[in-house]
Amino acid sequence: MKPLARKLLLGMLLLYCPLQSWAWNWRTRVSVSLKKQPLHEVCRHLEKEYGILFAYSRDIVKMSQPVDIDVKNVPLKRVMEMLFEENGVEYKKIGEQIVLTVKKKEQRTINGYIEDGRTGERLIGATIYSPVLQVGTVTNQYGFYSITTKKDTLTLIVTYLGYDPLVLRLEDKMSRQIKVQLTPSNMLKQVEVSESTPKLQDQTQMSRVSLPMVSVKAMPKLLGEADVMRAMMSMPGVSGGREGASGLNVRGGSPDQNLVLLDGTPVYNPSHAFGIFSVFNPDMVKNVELYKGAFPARYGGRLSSVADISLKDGDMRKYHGEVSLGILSAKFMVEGPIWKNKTSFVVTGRRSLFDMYLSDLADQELELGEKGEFFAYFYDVNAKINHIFSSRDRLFISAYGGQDNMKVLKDIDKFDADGVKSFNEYLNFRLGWGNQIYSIRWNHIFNPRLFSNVTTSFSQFFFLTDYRYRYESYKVPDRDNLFGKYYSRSQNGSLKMDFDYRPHPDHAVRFGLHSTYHIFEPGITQFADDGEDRPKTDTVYNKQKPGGLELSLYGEDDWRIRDSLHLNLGVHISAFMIFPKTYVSVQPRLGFRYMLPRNWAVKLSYTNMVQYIHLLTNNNTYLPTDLWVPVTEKVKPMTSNQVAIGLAKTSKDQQYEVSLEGYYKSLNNVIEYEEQVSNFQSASKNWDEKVIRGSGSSYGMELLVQKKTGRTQGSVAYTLSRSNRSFPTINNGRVFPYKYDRLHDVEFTIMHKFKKNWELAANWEFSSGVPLTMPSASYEPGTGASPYDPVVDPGNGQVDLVKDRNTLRMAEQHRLDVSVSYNWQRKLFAYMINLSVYNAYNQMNPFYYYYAHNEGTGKRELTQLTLIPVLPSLTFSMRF
Amino acid sequence: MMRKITLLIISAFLFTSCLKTVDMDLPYDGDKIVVNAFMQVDSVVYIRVTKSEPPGSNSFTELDKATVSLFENDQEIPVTRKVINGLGYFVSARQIKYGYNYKVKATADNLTAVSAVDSLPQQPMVGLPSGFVGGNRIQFKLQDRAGFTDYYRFRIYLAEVSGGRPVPVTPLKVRFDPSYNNEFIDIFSREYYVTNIISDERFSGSEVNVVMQTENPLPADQYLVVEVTALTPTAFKYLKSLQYQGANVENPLVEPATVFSNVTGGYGIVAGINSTRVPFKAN
Repeated sequence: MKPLARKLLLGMLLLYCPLQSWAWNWRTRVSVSLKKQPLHEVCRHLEKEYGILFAYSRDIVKMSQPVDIDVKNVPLKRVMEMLFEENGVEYKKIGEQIVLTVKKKEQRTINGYIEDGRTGERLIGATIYSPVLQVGTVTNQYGFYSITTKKDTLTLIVTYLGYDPLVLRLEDKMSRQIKVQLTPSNMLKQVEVSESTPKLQDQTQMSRVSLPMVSVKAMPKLLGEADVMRAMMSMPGVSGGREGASGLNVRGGSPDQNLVLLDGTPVYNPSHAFGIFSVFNPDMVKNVELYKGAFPARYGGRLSSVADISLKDGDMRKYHGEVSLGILSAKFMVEGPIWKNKTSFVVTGRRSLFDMYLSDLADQELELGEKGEFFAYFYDVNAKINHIFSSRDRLFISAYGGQDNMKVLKDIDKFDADGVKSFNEYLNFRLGWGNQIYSIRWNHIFNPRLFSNVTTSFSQFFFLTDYRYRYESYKVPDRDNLFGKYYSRSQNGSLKMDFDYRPHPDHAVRFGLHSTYHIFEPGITQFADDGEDRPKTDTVYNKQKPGGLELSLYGEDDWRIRDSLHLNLGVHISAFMIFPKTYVSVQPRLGFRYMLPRNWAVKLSYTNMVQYIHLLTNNNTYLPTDLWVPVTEKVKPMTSNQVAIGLAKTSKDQQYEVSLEGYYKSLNNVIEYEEQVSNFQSASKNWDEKVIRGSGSSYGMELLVQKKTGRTQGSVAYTLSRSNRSFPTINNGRVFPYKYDRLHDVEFTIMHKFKKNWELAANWEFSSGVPLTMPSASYEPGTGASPYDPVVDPGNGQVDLVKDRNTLRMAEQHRLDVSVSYNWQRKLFAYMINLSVYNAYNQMNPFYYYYAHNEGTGKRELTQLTLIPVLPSLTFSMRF
Repeated sequence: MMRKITLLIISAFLFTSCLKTVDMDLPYDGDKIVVNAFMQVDSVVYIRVTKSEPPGSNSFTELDKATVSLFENDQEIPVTRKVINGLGYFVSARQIKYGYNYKVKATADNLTAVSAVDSLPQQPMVGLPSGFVGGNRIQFKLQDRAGFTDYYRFRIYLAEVSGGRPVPVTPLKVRFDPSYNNEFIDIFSREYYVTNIISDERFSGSEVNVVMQTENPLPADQYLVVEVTALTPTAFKYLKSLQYQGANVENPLVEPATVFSNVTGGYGIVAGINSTRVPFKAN
C-alpha cells in the first residue's frame, strides 16, 4: 500500500469513530412524517433513522399520547420542542442520549389584596410587578390582584401614588395568597386614599380619566363645596352645561348618555340643586374613573361615558371622623371598625344651608303669613359596611339616599280695601326629587386566578310635587279644597355576576352576566276636589308603569401578544325585552396597543354601544322634571360607534403623563320633542308620537399633560372638537351644531403644597362660545277677532321668529378660580380652613341672551345674563 | 313655572346675577308679509297685514297697500280697508259662518305672496256663571263634546252696560285650578292671567264645573262676563306657542320657543274661533 493511501485510510478510520459517537447534535436536520403515533414510536423512529438514543422511565414519563408530525430537514432542537413542549415532557442531552423526564411546573400565581396599611382600605389600581421579568398587573376595583410569574421570581415591587413603594420578598416558590399593606408616604400630611394607575404606556385602556380625590379636594371650590363632577369637567373631552350647571357632556354626548355608577349601581340623576352640585359627597369617594370611549366590555347601557365611582370601605383599625362647615353646606363623616380587622363602617351626611339665606326672600316674595314656612335644601346620606369573612370572602353593604326638597306653607288672611278680613288662603306646596341606592356585593376568590364579584342592587330616582290648597271666604259662603300631585319615577333592580380570571400571564380575562329590570312611571298626575258645594272628584291621569328587562353578557381578554403588542378583545351582548318587542344587540369592543421607541404607546380602540332608555327633555339644562322612558316599537334604542387613536406616555419617574387622542363618534336614534312642552309633562302611552328621531356625530382631538407628583402638581387639558345633530324637521334637515359644541376648550390647573401648612390651587378655563339660537325676525302678533273688543295683551307685544337652531355663537368664556388652604394639627385633631374664589377676576361670562324691554326707550334691547360673578367662599373642617 | 323656583333658588346662593346690554349682529330673515286674523263665527273678519322687521323690533309697519283676498271655500268675499282705533284692517263685506273653510291671500310690492286657510269651530256650551260679591271665585258650567278634542280660551271681563246689554270692558286676572293645565307652580306663586288656554284632555265629553280664582274681590252691582272661546287646532297651537314664548323669554333653562304659523310664504295666523259670552252679576 502506498504511503498516501495508507494515510487516507487511517484518516477515514479516525474520522469514523467520532462520527459514530457524536453523529447528531441539536442542529442535525431530521425528517419525520408520522400520523397519530404515540410519542415513544416517534422516539423509536428517530433512534432507528438517526441513531438518536432516548432514555426515560416508562413509569414516570407518559409517552403513550398520540402525536402528528410531518417535518423535513428541520433542526433536531425544533423537532424536540414540537414533540415535547406541549406534552409536559422535559428533554436534556446527556452524553450520547436524550434523557426524558416529566416537566416541572415553572410558574406560580401570587394573589391577594393590596390595602392601606393604616386603615385597611383596599387600593384600586395599585401596581405589582416583577422588575426582572418586566411583567406586572394592577389591582381591580376591589383591590384584588393576581400575578402569575416564573417560579424562581423572588421579588415583586408594589407601588401606588401617595404610598411608599414596597419590595415584596417571596420566601418560597409556591403559589400563595398575600395581603400587601402599603404605608402612606410621609409627604402628605392628611392621608387620603388616592388613585393611581400604572404607566399609561402599560395600559391598553385609552380614553380613561382617573381623578385623584386629593386633587378633587384641593381644587378651588364653588361655594365651598368640592365636587367630583365639576372636577371631571376639567378633563379634556368633558364639559359641563352652561356655567354653573353640572350636566356632563362627554365627547359631544348628552347628559342622559352617561352611565354614572356608585359602587357599581347606576344613578339616574347625579345632581343636586338643578345640576349645580353632584350627589357624591367627596368625603365618601375613594376612586373615580371616567371612560370617554374605548369602553370595556363589562360596561353597557349608555352611549357616551361611564363614570365609575367607588366609595370608601371604612377604616378597619381606628375610628376617624370629619366635620366641615361651608357657606353652602354642613357635613360629617365617621368611619371605623365594628369588629377590628373584620368589619368596618363608614357614614357620611350632608345638608345644604341655603334656605337659611332664602327664607326672608321667600317670605317677601310669596307672602307666606305668620304661620308660613319655607324650606329649600338638599341632603344626602351614605352608609357602608364591609365585612371580611375569610381571606377569600368579603361582603359590602351600601346605601345612599339623597333628596332636594322645597316646601312652601302659606296660611294667610287677606283683607279688602277697607281693612276687613276677606278670605283665608292655606297652601301646602312640596317639591322634591332624589335618588335612593342600595347594594350588596360579595367578593369571592375561587382560586388564585379567579376572582368574582356578585352584586345585587336597587336604584330609584323620583320627582314629586303636590299641593293642598284651601280657600275660605269670611264674607260669603265660598270655599275650596283642592289637592294635586304629580310624580315620576324610574327604578331598577339588578343582579350582576362579574369574574376576573388570569389564566396565563399574557391574558387578563373578565366575563360576566348582568340582568336588570327597569320600571318607569313617566309623569303621573292625580287631582282631588273636595269643595263642599261641588261633587267630589278624584282623578288620576297617565297611571302606567312600563317595565323592561335588560340582560347582558360580556367577555373581554386583555392579551399580551408580545411585550410591545397588546390587544383587548371584548364583546357585550345585550337584550332588552319590553312587551311585545325584544331588541338584541352584539356590541364589539376592541383595544390595541403597540409600544413605540422611547416608551411611547400608540393605542387604537373601537366601541359600539347601545342605550335602551331615553330621556325626554325640553330644556337647555338637565332638570329633574325630565322623564326617563324605555324604547318602544317606534322609538328604537340609541346606538353609537366610536373609534379613537392615541399616543400616551408616563415619564420614567412617574412625574409626568402625556396623552393625545383623536376620536370620531356617530350617534343614531337620538330623540327630541317635536314641539315645546311644559315642565310637568306626562309621557303618556303615545309619547313616542311626539318626538322626532335623528342622528349625530362628534369628532375631536384631546391633549392632557399632567404633573402628578411633587409639591407642585398640575395639568393642561386642551380639547379641539365638533359635535353635531340632525333631525328631519329641525333646520330643514340640515346638520346643526349640538348645544354644547365648543371648538376650543383649555383648562390649566395647578396645585402647590408649601412646606408649612399652606396649599394653593388655581384653575383657569377658556372655551369657545357655545351655539346660540336667536330670533331672525320679529313681527306683529295676532290679538283678537275684533278691534272693538277690549285690548288684551297676548303676553307679547311681538312675535319673535325662531327658525333655525344653533346658528349663532355665544361669546367666548374664560374664568380663573383660586383657592388657599391652611392646615394645622393640634393633638389628635387636624384642622383645615379653605378660602376659594370662583371667577376671581369677575369675568362676565354669558349664560343666556334675550331681548329685554327698556321702559325708558320703549325699545327692546339684546341683553346678556351672567349667572356667576366673582364668588368667594369659606370652608372650615376638622378631622380626627 | 319651574323657572321661578329655579331662579329663586339659584339667586339665593349666587347672590346676584348680572345683566348687561350687548351689541350683537343678528342675521335678519328679510321682509315678509305678516297676516293676522282670528275669524269669529257670525262676525265680519278683520284682517291685519303688516311687515316683519329685524329681530328685536317691537313696532311694525302696516302694509296698507297690500292686496288682500278672502275666500269662503272657493268663493271670494270682498274686503275693504278700514282704520279702526288708529290701526288699519281689511274687513270682510259680510259675516262668516260655521261649516266653511276660509282662506286669506295677501300680496304686496316686492314681497312674497302669502296665504293661509282654516275652518271655524263650534260654539262652546257655557252656562250658570256665579260668584259672590267680595268673594274671589267665579264658577260656571262647561259642557264638552264627546269624541272630539276641543280647545278653549277663557277670559273674565268687567262689563259696562251699553245699548241695554253688558259689554266687556276690562279683562280680569284670574287663575285656574292646576288640574286643568298642570301649572303646579302657579298655585303658590302670585301669578294671575287674563287669558287661560287649555285643551279638554282632562275632561273630554264631560260637563265640568270650572272654578276660577280672581286676583281681586268681585264687585257688587257690576256685570261680569265669562268668555269661553272655542279654538280650532290651528288657533290653539298659535295661542299656546305664543303664550309659551312670552312666558319663557327670560328663562335661561329652555330653548327659545317657536311660535306656530299657518301662513305660507310669510308669518302670522289665520284661524277660526267661536266665543260665547255669558254676563252675570255676583250675588
